Amino acid sequence: MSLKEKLKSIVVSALAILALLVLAPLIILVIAVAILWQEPRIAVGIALGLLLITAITLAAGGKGVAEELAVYAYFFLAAGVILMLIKYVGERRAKVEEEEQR
Amino acid sequence: MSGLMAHLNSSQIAAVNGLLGRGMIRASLSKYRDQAIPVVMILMLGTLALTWFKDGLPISYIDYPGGLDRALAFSRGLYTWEAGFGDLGRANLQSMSYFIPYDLLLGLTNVLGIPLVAVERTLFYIWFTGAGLSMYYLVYVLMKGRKEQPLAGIVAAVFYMMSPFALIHIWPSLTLAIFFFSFFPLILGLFIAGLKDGKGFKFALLLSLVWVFTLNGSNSAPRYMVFAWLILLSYFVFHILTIDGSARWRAFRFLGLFGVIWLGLNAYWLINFALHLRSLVAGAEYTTISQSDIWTYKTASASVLDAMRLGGWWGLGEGYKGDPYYTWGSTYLSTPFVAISFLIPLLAFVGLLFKPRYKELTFFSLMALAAIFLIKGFNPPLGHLNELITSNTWLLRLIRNVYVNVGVFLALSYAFLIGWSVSFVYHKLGARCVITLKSRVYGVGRNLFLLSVVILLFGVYAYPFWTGGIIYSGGKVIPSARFEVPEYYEDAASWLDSQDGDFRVFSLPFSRAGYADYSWEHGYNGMDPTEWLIRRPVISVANSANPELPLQVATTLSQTDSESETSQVAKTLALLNVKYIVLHRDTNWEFIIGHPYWISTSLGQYESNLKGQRGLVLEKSFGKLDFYRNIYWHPSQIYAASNTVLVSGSIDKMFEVVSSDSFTPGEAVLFLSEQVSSSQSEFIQEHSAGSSSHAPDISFEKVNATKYQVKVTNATEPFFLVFSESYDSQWKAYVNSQGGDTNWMEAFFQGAISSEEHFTANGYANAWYIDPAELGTGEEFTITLYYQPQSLLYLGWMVSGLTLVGCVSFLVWGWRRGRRLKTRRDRV
Repeated sequence: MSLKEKLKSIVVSALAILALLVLAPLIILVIAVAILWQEPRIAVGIALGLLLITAITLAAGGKGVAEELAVYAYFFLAAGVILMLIKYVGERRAKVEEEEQR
Repeated sequence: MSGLMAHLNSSQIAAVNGLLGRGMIRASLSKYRDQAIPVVMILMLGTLALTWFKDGLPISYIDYPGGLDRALAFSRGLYTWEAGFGDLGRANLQSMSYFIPYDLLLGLTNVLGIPLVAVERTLFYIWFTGAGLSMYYLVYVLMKGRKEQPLAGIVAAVFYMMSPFALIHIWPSLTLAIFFFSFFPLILGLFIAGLKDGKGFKFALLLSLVWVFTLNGSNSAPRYMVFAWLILLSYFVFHILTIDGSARWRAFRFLGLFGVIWLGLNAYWLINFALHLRSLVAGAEYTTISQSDIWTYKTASASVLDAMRLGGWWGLGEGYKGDPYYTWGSTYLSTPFVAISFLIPLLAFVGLLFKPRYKELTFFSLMALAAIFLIKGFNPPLGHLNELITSNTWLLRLIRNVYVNVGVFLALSYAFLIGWSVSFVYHKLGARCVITLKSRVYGVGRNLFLLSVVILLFGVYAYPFWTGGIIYSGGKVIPSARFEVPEYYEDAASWLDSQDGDFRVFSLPFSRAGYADYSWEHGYNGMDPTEWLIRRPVISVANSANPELPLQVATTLSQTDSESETSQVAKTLALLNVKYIVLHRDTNWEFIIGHPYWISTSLGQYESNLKGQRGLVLEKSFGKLDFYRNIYWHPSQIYAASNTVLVSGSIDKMFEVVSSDSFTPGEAVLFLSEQVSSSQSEFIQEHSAGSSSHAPDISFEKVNATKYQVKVTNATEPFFLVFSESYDSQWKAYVNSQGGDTNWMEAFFQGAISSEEHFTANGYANAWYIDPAELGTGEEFTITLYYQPQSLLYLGWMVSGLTLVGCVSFLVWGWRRGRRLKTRRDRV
């Protein structure tokens, strides 16, 4: 393999890795949102699990880590509750429209 | 049913009716039993508050106005100007807003001769039980008809009563915000019931009246009124989003009716409040203790980890000179208690896993998350977003002491969520009764679950409620919250009562924020009670529009290198109409020395400085109170002066001028170039008559705090009428050449002396330029000095009264019309 080809393969590999690094979180995010959209309770469950781990971490003396975990727990809770609200309003509207069509 | 009844004879009908009646009675008894048992439990738990009183002593702490002079508290709510309250007089546009229920209650109990400690016991019981009952009602409205409701209600009620927020802030601080804490769930419950059931006029009136008699007690901090409306309107929007058609129209109609009745009933304070909003906001900023809103917000906020557990109050682990602020604080920060505290968010949000489509659950979860977001302040997550929102809006001013101001909403939403979760889990475990063995296991399991929650959350975690530790019992330096006023205060009050004339008393040691700390038998720490105890206007605070002069006097008297043998202090005090300085030798010196709220020095230094001042003489001592008389004082509440002194500069310069031998307080009037406009300055120079001119004779009658009737005789030349209350542009002087006075109605229309001829005099007071020739009054006439917002108060009372009478008349009319129609129908 010539130097030019070697360089080309390195650049392509680097770009592929970069693309994966950028795209992977996006893909995970999209999948996560899709799952949570179907069932927001998953987010609440994760938040409660994180809170439990936070309690244990804090009791073990890891205040810094506990605070980080609490931040994530808060995010999951917020996501869960907001999704629940959106779904509730959406379902309600659909029901009303259905009744009107009848 | 009527068709069936037609085929029966009379005895059969009676039998059926009997059966139906008994069945209905049984059904309603069973319905009431479901609600009665939790209500009785809450009423019984409320008696716990009575055990916090020890040795028959009343409780007073920080901002809680303990009603030491209930007659004064009552009269404060009736007038828009306050002659004292530690100040040189101030606009009192807020007291009337909590006149109902608080000052009214104090006044009534005073008339009935009920001892203060009995009043406090009753209030504590009402507040503590009220919190539980109103939370129970809220849950009843939200979960009406569900089998989980009674248990959810009782769990929510007990959690709300004994929540960490109540433990950390509500009871140890004892401010009038307690009315909001105790009764806001009731208001929210009534509002939600009105919206859900599409209630009408009668219910809107009931809600407005309940609001006036409960929530208005917290209007001393008007932010609570704003919070209440914000939450109600948020729920309204949420409700509208989740209903449709005619239900929406009914909800709008209820909101409209409630809004109009609420405005009408609250007009007695709202009119003044709305018209003087700007000055009220500015007044709230008067402080000599510089704490910016941002600083306060940062100090009062907590990390998200603490906020989620309803903790994070900075004072929990802190103390002062070796004494902790909370005797139980260190226990609360220990590992077992921290572990228990996680039960709060876990139990609150676990309910979401079971019933995600229940809309009330979503609303209260959102409220809890919003409250946590505000309480965590600029800390992660999204600290910058929080900073952006709060720093650039009025929100920061509203919530600055965030744990105190927003914590109540977190406690409220958690109470409902925890009640829901516990009840739901309990019933869920009980519902699995398929196989006997399994049902037994589930039965034991759910009882164990409930017992654990009760023991951990309401027993262990709320232990200061049970032990009485919630009321501070006193440390080495910080005194107890329980107090007993020494008898020598009454002796001093009687002695002052026997003296004629309106005069002020200057209190030492001087607090910048109006607090006092005494070494009485049980101690005292709270608002300076001197004015309530000696029944005279007392200068004891520098949180006003005119703090400079009192501060300067207090600073001079506390300095170690204070210049002796000068009349500077005595003459300045004479300008402030101060006849006596009272030195509290019963002060807790160890507490106040070095404390930023006090201009403090040792007792010896104060005594040495007071004795060294020319014009101050120790006249009388009562127990540990020393009264120094100011020999330069003579009655100067209202006086006429022809001699004017225009001082070029600020208060410091005035302090120098006053001490000169040529200056006699009460005979001349002083103007500061900094406090008058340039046109007024020219006017003063132009109309300065010189020492040879003749001032008229003045006599006056104080009608009330907002009205003085002045009689002027021998007025041959122009003069300045000086009124020794803090300058306020709303004070008006009405000249009546034929004698007589100006009543409150006339004050709206009658012309007063122009604002250009109304000056700030003597560094703080009011002065009007009166020229009898120009006014065409002759040598004898009367002047009514009147604080104009008082007319708006009377107008407001009329609007509120008319609203109430109108509403009740409408109800009676509707009721009678209904009866007439029914009678007509029966006849047909």
